[in-house]
Amino acid sequence: MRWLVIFCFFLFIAFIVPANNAQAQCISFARNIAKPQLAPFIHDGNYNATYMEEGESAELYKTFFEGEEYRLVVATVESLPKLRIRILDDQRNVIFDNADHQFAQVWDFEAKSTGTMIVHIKVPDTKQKSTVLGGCVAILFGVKANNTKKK
Amino acid sequence: MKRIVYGFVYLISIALISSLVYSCTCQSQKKEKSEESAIIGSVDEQLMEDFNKSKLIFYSLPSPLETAMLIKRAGATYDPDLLNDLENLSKYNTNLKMALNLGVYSADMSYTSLFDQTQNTLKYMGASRKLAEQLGILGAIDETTIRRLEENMNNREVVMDIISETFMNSNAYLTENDRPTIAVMVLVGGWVEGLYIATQLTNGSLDKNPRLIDRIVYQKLSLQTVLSLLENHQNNSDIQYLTGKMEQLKAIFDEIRIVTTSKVEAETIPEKQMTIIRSEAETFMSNEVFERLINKVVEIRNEFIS
Repeated sequence: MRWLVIFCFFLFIAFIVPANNAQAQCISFARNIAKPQLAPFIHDGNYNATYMEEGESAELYKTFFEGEEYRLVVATVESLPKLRIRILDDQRNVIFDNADHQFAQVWDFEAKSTGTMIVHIKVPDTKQKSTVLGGCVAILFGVKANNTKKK
Repeated sequence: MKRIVYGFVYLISIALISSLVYSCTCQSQKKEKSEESAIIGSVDEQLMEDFNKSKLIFYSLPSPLETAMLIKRAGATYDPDLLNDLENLSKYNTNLKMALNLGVYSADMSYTSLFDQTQNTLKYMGASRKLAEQLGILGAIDETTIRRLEENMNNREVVMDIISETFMNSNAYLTENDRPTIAVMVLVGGWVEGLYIATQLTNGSLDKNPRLIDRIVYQKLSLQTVLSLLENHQNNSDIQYLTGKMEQLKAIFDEIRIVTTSKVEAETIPEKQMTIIRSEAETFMSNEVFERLINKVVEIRNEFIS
């Protein structure tokens, strides 16, 4: 009888707990994996992370201010392929596509004018029919800090 | 005892079957998606399809830290009289007031840190910690954070990193614990405080610091983001209240014109992994509109901190 209870407990841990924690684990992922890639830019502090599966997409609206330099980091768990990242202007014209740059997941932007941009990300479909891959995806922005050392 | 065990086994079985059904559903959805893709065909159509079917939309407001950086780079100065008095802390005893003022104190903390006002940064970090704890935001700002801040007070870069970490922790905690309305209130409080500091630093003049004025004018775009954030939670009465306040601000910002005179152009430098973005625009704001904007920001901010 005791073995039956233990067996059921492990089944519970194996199947139920991971499903519930999938979302909650993204903060650790964003903090430990995504944020360090922003250096030497300073993370703006905004938290944009979620659980995504292959084939899914998301958008982030961000105002770029004139004279500022930004670093965009899109990080995914290892099990997911590199994401397609496109930057659109407010008329939804594509002004940057990482498919033209070996699907780079880190890119810098220098704003010579102020405007709202849309970061559009897509998890590619891997065409593996047996399973659907999913995991945390974080989109973080850093701002270039000039003269940050005290004199 | 036997009955309890059988009940437990029954529940586990149900959970397992549910898991299997869920994974089957995922696969069938995937199959449907791939069939759909085959039908869509052309690349351009696929691209439009991606854009139209985005699963999730994030609205990223300039954080208090970014706002403080924008203010400082515009050549503004430090004025301690603009900070929300720490004596007010004990007054905040509703979720709305605690959340708004967590944002306000976070913005003040960022402002003090950018101008190397180390003692004030520590005090405002302490106030933010208290409000975060009262809101039940666990671990966002703890004893280690305060100690790390104390130990690195002479390194602005590390101080900024610690501050950004506390924002992310608070925001993530609230988002991942199903309290997005509180997260939005914190963001709104921080944004209004940043706007308050910026407008006050102009001393009511449109000419004294054109760069700072430019930063304020373009908050029209950020206000749109604020309204989009609020729009998603209209079933909450505090959010309805904030929407009303932001609509009052919008009525004034609507009188400020930003006229784009060229298309957005991008120049990519692959070896630097960098893209330069530029467009041309002209902005128009009269003295009278600016004065009304300053007064409205003061009115809303004072209501928040009272």
